[in-house]
Amino acid sequence: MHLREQLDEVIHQPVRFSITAALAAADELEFSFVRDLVDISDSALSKQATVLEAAGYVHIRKGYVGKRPRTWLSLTPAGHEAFAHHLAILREIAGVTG
Amino acid sequence: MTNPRSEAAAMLSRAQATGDAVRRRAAWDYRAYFAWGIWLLLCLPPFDFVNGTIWGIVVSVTSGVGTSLTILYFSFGARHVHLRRAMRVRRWLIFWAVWGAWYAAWIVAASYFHNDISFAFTLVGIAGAVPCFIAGYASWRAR
Repeated sequence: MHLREQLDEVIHQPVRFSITAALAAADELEFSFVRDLVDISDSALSKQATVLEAAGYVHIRKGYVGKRPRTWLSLTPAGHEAFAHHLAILREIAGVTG
Repeated sequence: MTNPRSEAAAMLSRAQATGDAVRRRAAWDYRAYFAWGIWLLLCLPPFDFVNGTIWGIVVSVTSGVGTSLTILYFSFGARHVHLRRAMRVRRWLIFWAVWGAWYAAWIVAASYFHNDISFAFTLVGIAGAVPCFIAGYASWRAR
């Protein structure tokens, strides 16, 4: 099997890849922070986050800061594992060692 | 047709850049620790030299504002980003609790001994500031 076929299709999609890369760097990110970082609309982020959540890679937590509703996103352990595996495959394809 | 190798390299670069962007925007905690350390060094030593009642008002007002801002920052989600290390054990809460006890003990001691030790409040300032600077440095390193 070619290495490319081992890439996780859920993560490989460009927007989801950026979302996952951002979440991998933190414990938890607020929805609006991810939206601005990835430079997409609320609805686009919501849609992609739902796809990642359905795959078991992202946990979506809703809460309040004062009276304002907020949403936080975080990678699940499965998400961390899948992203690490995905990066490892990319490194192999790119011929990057270490 | 896209070269798979260069495409993979580009994605790796993007992952790295995105992670770096998150880390840059996160972990401002160290600024709070450093700010308190500096505040302690600036505000407490004058008690050894000036009228404590007047200076006490300045210190009370600035500490009240600082405490409010610190609580807002740490507790009520002023941060958009929770870094892994910062979030897991809520180190900031442990730090401020332990530091509060430490600082209170020094203040009580200084209140008793300030007539015997001419630089009692300078000592309190240093004793209070050192843990803040250590925590600030640790927080800065953990970004």
